[in-house]
Amino acid sequence: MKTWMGAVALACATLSCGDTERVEPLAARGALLASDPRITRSQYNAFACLTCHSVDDPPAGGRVYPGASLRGAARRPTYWSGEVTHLREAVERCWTGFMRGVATDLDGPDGQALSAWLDSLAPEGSTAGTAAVTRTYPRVVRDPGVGDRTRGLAVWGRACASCHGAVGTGAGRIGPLTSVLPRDTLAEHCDDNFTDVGYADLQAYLRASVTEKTRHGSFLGYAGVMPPFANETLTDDEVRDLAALFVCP
Amino acid sequence: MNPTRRCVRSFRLLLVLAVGAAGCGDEITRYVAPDASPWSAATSNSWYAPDGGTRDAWFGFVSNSLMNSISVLDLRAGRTIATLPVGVVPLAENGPHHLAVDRAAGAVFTPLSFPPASIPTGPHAAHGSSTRPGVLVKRALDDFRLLGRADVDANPGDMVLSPDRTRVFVSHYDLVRAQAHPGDREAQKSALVIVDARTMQRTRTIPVCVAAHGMVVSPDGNTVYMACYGDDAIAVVSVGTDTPTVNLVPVRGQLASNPTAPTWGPYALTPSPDGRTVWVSCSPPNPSAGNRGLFIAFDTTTNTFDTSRATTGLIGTPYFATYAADGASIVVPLQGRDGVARVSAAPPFRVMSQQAFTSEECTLPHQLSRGPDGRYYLVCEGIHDRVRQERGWVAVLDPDSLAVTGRFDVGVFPDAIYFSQGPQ
Ligand code: HEC
Ligand code: HEC
Repeated sequence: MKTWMGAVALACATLSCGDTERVEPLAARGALLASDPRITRSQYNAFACLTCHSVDDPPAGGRVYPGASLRGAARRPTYWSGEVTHLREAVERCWTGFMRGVATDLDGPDGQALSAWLDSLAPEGSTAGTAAVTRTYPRVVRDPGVGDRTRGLAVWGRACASCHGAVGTGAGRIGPLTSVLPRDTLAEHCDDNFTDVGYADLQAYLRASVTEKTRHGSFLGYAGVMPPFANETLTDDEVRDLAALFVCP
Repeated sequence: MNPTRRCVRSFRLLLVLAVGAAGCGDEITRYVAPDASPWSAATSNSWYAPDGGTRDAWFGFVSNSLMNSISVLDLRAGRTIATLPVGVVPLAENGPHHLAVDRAAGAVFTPLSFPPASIPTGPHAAHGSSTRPGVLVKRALDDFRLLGRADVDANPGDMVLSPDRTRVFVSHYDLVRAQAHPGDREAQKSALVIVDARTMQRTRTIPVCVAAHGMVVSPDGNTVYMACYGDDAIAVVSVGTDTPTVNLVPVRGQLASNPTAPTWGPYALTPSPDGRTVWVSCSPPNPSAGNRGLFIAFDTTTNTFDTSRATTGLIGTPYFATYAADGASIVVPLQGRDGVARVSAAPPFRVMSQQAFTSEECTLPHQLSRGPDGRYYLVCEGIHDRVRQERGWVAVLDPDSLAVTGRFDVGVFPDAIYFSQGPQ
């Protein structure tokens, strides 16, 4: 099995008029595509697979990825915390839900390369990363209370900056359709009639909104393409500190 | 091991990617595809383990409407062998309501609904996007991989396949819609959605009646009968032509004046084997001693209700029933006082027997089905309310005594069972 893995090396053969040919496993092409947002062919997509996933678990205190690490994923018994039992379907959720792709493209050449890459991260006989990953998304979201702005900035750097860029200016954000925060949220919500939805004051309502967006991403009644952050990726304390970055004037 | 898992052990030279412009002196990368087919998943996810002789064995498939899953029952072994997720909307409660298996096509169909109660509380959820469309999913019979999906309307209730298995009919038990448009009967109507079973294209949307639930298709596939809960009626929908027609026949004289509070509440339908009768089980929103639920025959040859074959004298509210093997009687599950009744199918109509179950035998019987082995399988919802969400079960009943003889544990709020042999 996987004879090609041995045949990886650069088998350089000289072609007719001086071209050189490199022979590589398809997985190598998949690895390139995993960092390429153009893979879904949507002009609105700014995300690559590796925007939200790392291959190996990042060190504690390092960057926070909303998606599970991908080493061993191809051999996991279930995905998305048991909601899915097939690798293709697990990836299709990201492909269509976050990356605005067309599902059938996953069966085309690029999809096949991704599949080969994921397989190569879970070679036969290996056990690393092959246990199912559990993610808990709190269904009921409330005002987390008042957090610490300084700590919030640190969490921001680890979990949010990769997409949203710098707090306040959005400098370095991943794409033009990614919100500039907290600006956009304040513009959208600071004149809401929050009593409609049962919050004691505007700040509490705003903190709850930020918490909801962070925990549910584009799911559970929200829209968009932002991924959800589970309890396992950000603690309640960390979310509370993040919410402290959002204050209505 | 998954029978569909292919291990093609040959080299396939798949892609040639030219790096840079194609001229002389360029470096060209040729990618070699691995020997496994793409997305063949290193692990096997099939519930089905052919071990010589079981290929013709029968299985029961049960939709767990509050648990995003279908349970697979091995009828001969007497146990539940798998519970497989079927949802397609991440993080949400994907509630499969009823199901059907097309063994020849290797497919399982089930419509998912997203009940308002499943939308969690949060500032934005509270803004009220509770009417998200349902999704009809088609999954492979062998390993439940996703084969296709089609958006249907919000709150799908029941589904049936056409007899030739080319079309899927989906009803919508959409009480939210009924409540959202008081006084506007047209806007209150739920639709019959027809989906092409092969391509999963939604081919037709026919507004029919308020909060339709149970459905029966005529043997020729040209007529769909629907229980119109909000209208106190049966809808006879002709679907054999390009211009469908809808005929509402009131259960008793007239349509409900207020479709959010009907008198009778037709809910479940049970066809006779010859297609000449559709039995209507009514589930009144406000049951009383004199109206725990009407059980009445609808004559499909005349499109009229047959009041000589009707009763309001059952000990509970009737649900999805089944014919006895000899065709002489119908066995009806009852809720409220949980139990079963046996009524005569042939004239003169009479209630032949009724018996109650203990809560251990069956809590909230929802659907009774005669299995391929002749025994009856009774889907028992179990307890599911705001406070307690316990798993339901399928009780096995002796076909003569109707005594409970066995039990399969399934998921939360099971609402239907469908029998099929394993994948071909
Ligand atoms: C916008 C962020 C985002 C992008 C982009 C993204 N994913 Fe995901 N992915 C997630 C989240 C969130 C989950 C669900 C949490 C989880 O189970 O990992 C997930 C789940 C998965 C899983 C299931 C992991 C498991 O064990 O449950 C796989 C496999 C996966 N993604 C692969 C990919 C691939 C391949 C790509 C690129 C084509 C991709 N993802 C792009 C966010 C993303
Ligand atoms: C993978 C990229 C990505 C990451 C990581 C990410 N976001 Fe987002 N976020 C987006 C995009 C894109 C939008 C706009 C579209 C949408 O709403 O999904 C958005 C929107 C938002 C909004 C709503 C803005 C509005 O208009 O009100 C909030 C609040 C938010 N993000 C907070 C966060 C926080 C806090 C974090 C870190 C925990 C975070 N995001 C991490 C991509 C991301």
